[in-house]
Amino acid sequence: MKGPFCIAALAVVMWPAMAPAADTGQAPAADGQWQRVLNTEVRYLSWNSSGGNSGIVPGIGSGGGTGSQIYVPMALQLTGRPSNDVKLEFLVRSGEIWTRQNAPTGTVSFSSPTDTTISTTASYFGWAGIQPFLSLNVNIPTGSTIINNKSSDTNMDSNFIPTPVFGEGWNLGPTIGANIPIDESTIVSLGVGYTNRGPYNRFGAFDPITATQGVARYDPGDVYTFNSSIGHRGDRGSIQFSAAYSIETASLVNGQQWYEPGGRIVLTGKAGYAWSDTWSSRLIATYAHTEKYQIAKAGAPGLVDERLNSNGDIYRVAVDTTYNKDNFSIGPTGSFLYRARNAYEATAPEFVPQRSGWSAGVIATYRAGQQITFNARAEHLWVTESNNPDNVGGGGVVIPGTGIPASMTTGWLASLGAAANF
Amino acid sequence: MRATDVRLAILSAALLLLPIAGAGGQTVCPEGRTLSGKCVKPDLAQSMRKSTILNTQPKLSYTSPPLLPSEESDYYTPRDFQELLSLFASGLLAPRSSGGARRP
Repeated sequence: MKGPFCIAALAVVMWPAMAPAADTGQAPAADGQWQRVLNTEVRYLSWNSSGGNSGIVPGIGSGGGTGSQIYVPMALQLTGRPSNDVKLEFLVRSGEIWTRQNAPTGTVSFSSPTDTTISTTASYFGWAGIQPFLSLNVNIPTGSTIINNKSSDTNMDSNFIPTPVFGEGWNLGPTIGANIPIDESTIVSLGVGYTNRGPYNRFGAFDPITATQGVARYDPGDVYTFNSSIGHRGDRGSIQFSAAYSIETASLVNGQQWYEPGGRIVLTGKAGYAWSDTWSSRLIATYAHTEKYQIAKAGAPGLVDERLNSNGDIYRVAVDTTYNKDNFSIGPTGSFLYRARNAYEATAPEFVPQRSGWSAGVIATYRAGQQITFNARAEHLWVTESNNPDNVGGGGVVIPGTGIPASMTTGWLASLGAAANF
Repeated sequence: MRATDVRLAILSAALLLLPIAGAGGQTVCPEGRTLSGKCVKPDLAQSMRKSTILNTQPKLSYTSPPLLPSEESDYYTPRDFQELLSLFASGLLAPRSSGGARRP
């Protein structure tokens, strides 16, 4: 069943089973009552890249050209309290995606449902001083991993496109954790999660004898993540910090080890403050660092440490300020993302240059009564990537045409969404 | 163990648990209580729990992360750029000749 239709069918089936909810706001549900939220958005993104190396396929951040994407996620969330001490949260989310890309190597377009996620979380409030929770999340492969009988033509730049891929395999992700309140306004949250990622098919290496691409079986590595967070909410402001550290097993292609990422740490800080009854601001800052990979290397048995770290650190800051009046809010928003270049020499084939991206625009929200909320966003995007000189081969010989010039990509992002609370 | 000892043990355990049970009997808190029995702020508790779940499932789904679409700007998860190159860009199935990575 296609993803969005799956959500719609689920909503129809579950609707009569839910007791009518007296409270239609966002406050937690009382005993025996269920809150339902149906949320969808239509996101449109278009971009235009100044250039790059026309000999390199699009989708790796260097092909240049133009493109556009429409992404329509849809989700249904149910929240209920079967007793005073237990809270249950269910979420099912899927969507549809359409994309078109024009590059020197050709024009391709494609549409597909996305994968579907089902999430269930149970929290227990019966103990004073600690509120444990257990969450089980499943990614169902309703999307596509083979696109137009190929795999790469419509892949897009993951530093620019919010949804650069269209599907994966069955992924199963349990998380266990607990909120530990220091006082009523300060909470420490700890958790550990495991993501078992299932295999899927993609088109693999080009066979020069048959002049075809063969299907390859990808089996991405499983992920273990530990997270600790602390948050405080005052009368007018709030602040949160979190640190998450992930380790990952090796990813396989056709049963052979392909690579194993190094440990990854992600630090996040959030802050919000209400300057007055009508003005408020938010800030989210993120930093990510990944250790060196282990990789498959010709002539070496098993995986070996890569010579230098191929991962550049990522820094991102997003801010917005809104003016709130009655049922309406509007204000400016912006973000900045910086990816440091990796540790390789600029003339090595593995070099990934630094990149920076800016966005600036407007966000708005309108609450139509107590049950329907509309939101809209419009942003302009600017991304610059430094040049990558021609590679140097054996004997120090420069290989012409292997470099990538500095590029400038601009684009527009617009979205319109609605959330219905029942 | 004599019956008196058993009753004494049960009474002692009950006395130890009394502060917690008493605190719980005062009111129904939407998102639980502190050790002193005060209700935690519901919005903060929900946000912390959701943040922990999302942070511990960074690669559950590239297309449908487990949150409402309208919440995505509140819970940004940086992508693994190298993994996206390795698994979703062109089919690079031959082991690399140098010590390098997945960039074509």
